[in-house]
Amino acid sequence: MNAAHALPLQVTAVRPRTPWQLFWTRFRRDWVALAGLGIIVVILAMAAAAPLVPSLNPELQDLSLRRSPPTPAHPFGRDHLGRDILSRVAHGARYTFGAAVTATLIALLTGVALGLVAGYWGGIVDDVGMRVVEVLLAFPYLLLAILIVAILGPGLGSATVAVGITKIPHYARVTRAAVLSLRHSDYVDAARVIGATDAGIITRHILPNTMAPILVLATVGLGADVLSIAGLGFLGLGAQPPTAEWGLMVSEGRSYLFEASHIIVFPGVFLMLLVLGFNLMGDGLRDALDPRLRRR
Amino acid sequence: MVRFLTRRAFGFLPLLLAVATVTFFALELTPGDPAVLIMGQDATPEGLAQVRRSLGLDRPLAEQYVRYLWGIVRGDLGRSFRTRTPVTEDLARTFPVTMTLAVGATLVASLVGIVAGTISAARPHGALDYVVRVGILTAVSAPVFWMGLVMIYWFSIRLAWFPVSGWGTVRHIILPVAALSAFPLASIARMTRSSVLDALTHDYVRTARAKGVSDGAVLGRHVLKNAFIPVVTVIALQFGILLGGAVITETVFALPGLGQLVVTAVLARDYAIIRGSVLLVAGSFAVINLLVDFLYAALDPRIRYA
Repeated sequence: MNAAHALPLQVTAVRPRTPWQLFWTRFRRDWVALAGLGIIVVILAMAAAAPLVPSLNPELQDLSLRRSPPTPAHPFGRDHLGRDILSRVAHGARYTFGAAVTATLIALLTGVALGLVAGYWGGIVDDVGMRVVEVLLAFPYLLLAILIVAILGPGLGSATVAVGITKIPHYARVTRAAVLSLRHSDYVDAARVIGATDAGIITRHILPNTMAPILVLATVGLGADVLSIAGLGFLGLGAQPPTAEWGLMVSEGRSYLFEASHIIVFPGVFLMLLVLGFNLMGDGLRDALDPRLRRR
Repeated sequence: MVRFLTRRAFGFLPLLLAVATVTFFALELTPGDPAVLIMGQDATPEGLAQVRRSLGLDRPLAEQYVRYLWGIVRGDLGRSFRTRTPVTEDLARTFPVTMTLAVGATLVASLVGIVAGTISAARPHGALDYVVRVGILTAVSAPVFWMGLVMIYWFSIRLAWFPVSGWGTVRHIILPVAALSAFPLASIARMTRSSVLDALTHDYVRTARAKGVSDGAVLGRHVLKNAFIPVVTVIALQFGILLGGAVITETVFALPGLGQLVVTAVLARDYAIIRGSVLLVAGSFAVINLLVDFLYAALDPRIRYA
């Protein structure tokens, strides 16, 4: 009988923290970023709840109460057709969120794929891909979006696709740069030596390492996309009446600025809050995901 | 460096060609016959054929493309499908308005942005720093069309300091420029702040402080000079974006600029106007980017171009 039996050692494995845990410990200390997340969650909840509340009808007109100012029953007032602005703002969150997320996904999926292929294989693929990106970047983005809307015809869907396409170059460039820096790293060489396929190397080793900058880009990009889609709606090139899209609502209300300024206040405030939320959260993500780029 | 600049200047022409090609074929892909748009749904076949002939639309696509390119070289962008006026005339009328707005907004944004960013960086986490940072966040988050309307409400309707819309005098320009400059101002202030903070960590700052140079002189004489290059890039970039972005501001203030021309043209499917305006703005954008490269090379002797 030896000492080890008399005194059993308590061996608990110390599990290394996952990148997600590391990220979360840093992120949750950043109250500004959490405030941003909070704004997004509240507006998202509003978008989700809007269709469940029958009294929130965005299209019910009451022409006798046209442009009536805020009252306790209708805290945001009514618009130029007597529609309840609170209902329209709540339903509008659905369009704004849906369109911004779709646009960002279009840009992200296309851009990341383009950047991966161009960066990993290089050569002629890289040349062609980057020329495409350069031509896209040769247009000021709003003008490119307008050109695409001109092809597809005005509408919320066209505006979404247009904004998505204008953002492809950003994702392509960031991904390509990340891939180039990883392509000849030791662990990628090691993976190749033990016989990993190109697809395996890309999905298992390269893609996870490009995710941090892409995630930051996408969060801040969501805010910019909200603004662009609302801007196209304001110009009459995005959502069409009677859609309760925030940019279009501001556009419809501008003729009544003098006598009924409340019509444009609320859609504008919510646009600004949502974009602010994405910006705050994007800054926080950048700090939490890449401590080297810490905001001072 | 001369070789880099020459190469860059030659790379400029293919880019313009690519832009012209994209605008030509992109609009060629659109469904709908321009002749029908011009003549209306109940036009006679003979009438439609005549319109197609007069616009050159009965020609093979390749020929139309070559004619279009040759026209650009000669400074002829065709005629508006709707009003039949030469596109160049419409552009000559509207582009100065857009340019004035963009230049004005860039000037205001650069001056205020650099000052605000420097003040902010001089005392990080001080009261002024927070004011500037909150201002930056607000300015990059607010939709420009909404801010423009809020400005009209307060300064034109309530206080009656400025006309609500129109063009011609300095008083017409102030509000649109203010609205348009908010976003670039914030970007410039943000870049100035981080660039100055970065420059402040360098050894030459410590040396200057050690020998007794005052804070103001350190900032003015050493830091700003070194922090300036990334700021110049942002300014130029923002100027290019403003040429396109002014579209929204022009609509808010009902200004007779390129923006109104383009938006009306898109709604009316007036392809000649869309092509011409996109080409003009993208061309100016390319020129600006080229000038930035030149400026960059001139400003920073450390940059070596192979």
